[in-house]
Amino acid sequence: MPYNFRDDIAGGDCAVEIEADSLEELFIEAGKAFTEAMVDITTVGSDNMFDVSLKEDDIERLFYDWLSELVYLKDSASMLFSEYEIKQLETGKDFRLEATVGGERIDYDKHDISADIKAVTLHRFKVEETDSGWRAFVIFDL
Amino acid sequence: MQKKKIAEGIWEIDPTQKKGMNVSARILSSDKLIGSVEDGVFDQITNVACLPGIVGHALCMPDGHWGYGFPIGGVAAFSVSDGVISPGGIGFDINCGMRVMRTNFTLDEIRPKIKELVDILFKYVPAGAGKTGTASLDRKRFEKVMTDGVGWCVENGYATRADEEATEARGCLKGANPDFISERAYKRGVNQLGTLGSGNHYLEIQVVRDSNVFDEEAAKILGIDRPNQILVSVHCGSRGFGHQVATDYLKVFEKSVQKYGIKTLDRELSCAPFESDEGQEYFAAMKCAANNAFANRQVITHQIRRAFRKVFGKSDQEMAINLIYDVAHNIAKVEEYEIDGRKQRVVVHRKGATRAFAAGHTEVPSQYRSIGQPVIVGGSMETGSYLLKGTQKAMTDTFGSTLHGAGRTMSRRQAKKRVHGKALANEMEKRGITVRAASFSGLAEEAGIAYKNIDDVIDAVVKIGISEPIARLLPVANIKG
Repeated sequence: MPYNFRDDIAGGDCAVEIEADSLEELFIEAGKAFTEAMVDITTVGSDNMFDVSLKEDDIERLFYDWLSELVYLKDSASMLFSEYEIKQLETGKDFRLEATVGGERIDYDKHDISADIKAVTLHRFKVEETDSGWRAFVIFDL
Repeated sequence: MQKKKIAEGIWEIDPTQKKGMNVSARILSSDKLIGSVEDGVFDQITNVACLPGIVGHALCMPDGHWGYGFPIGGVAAFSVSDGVISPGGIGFDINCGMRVMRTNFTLDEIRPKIKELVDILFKYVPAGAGKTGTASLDRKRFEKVMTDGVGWCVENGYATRADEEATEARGCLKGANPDFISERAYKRGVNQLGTLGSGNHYLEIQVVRDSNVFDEEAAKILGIDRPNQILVSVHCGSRGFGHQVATDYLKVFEKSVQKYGIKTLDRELSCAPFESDEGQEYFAAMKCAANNAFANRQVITHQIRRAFRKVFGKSDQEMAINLIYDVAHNIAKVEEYEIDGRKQRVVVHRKGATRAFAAGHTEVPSQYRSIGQPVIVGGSMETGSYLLKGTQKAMTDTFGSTLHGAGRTMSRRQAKKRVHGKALANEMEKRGITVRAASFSGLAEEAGIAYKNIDDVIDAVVKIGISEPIARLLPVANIKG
């Protein structure tokens, strides 16, 4: 699996390492890990689509904003997400992301939600390019 | 990193142990518990000791464990004039806290109707992710919640004046300013007033056995006055509203550290000088979230009273479900202490730590001033909780602070691997604890085995002298978010 939950770090919260071949894939896999930290992603549909448009000064901030946006959408619309599509990811002078996320409203008959992500922390937060692609580390506050 | 035991229950890491430490770090623990303190706690508390303007010592309480920014259980005070304020020292769940209510019920009266009661409570107090509350608010009304806290609840029929009196700061931190609240925070929070949330948040029906009253005089003053008396506890905070306020300002403070040339060893400790514009704006926004949390627990109290009325058909006077106390354990407050021989105003950050003021302090409600401030320590849903009182030693040694819970020893995912939620619920039922949870896998994450033994952590704070026990509360029924 491209993401790995780290039980040995900050056990009251949820630490996750994500590895991917490309930056686009890193954002997608982080989105999946975000959902999987709360619920079995295979139980979540994708009937409702949301557009995400973000701009930041560097890649780490853009990645932080992406995950924070998912937290915000989850809470403000009572949603869980299962589909993540990156439409445009621009790096260079500016860092921009255009994406679509698909999900469905929380339904306790269908979704066994073990935890709720409150926020994205910056403790040990990291996004870095590696020899084989990209790697990120993030701790979600539960 | 070397830690030296300097007194019973206190281990110190001196400033030579990490470059940049301005003061020493102190871990409050016991011979029994110190070995289980994770390396991450030592790393985090020494990072805190490096922050500008810190005074006294960076402290970690005996229930401390690895968090983000501050460790959970972290306490630190910063000079008002030279120090900083950091969202990482408060937590995303601003004013996460505890409240406990006494009742006129005994266990024998509750037991025959416990399942019905739990079902009604589960219906009246929404629990779990995505749940919305019953209070209908628009931006204007929500801003009144932010500025007035429990005062708004009194005005709108959710609270009595006695509830207000029995809440830390009377349930309203002055200086809350909605101008510093984002549209996002408003949207995340506006529908959540009166909801428990998830994770380790809960509503618990508890019993006080005679043998578990350790200070009869103090217990009586709190209204614990009959055998096998039923109490009700609530643990929750400011919900998505507070989480968004903290997220918004963490981003602001990432820029502030550059603007003010502050070096931190953890980005989660991003901060701003307390007296800077950014620091004051966050402090005013944090107060909005804190007041929202006081109001949230109060609206839940209103719903609990409704549930009891419905199940038992008794009046409020007959049931006397009266708030004993409500206290925050994720907050920053300006307080005054004698430090290095002189009185100083400091910004005390408590993250997973409870205020524990001594008898006589003017901030302690008048009815409790002779005994000290009540402290509510929430244990795991299987093992129970404690009521303590603050001491003078807490005032001199820990900025009037003590522990807040049992403290985790096992990650949520590990607990879920070892415990099956449904089996746990059945097992607890056999032991006389009725459970309703928004999710069974969420229930497994909160199993008793995931926490330190609460008796051990209470023993540690009592031996150190920063709190004294009043009573132990055993779970009868638990509603988990």
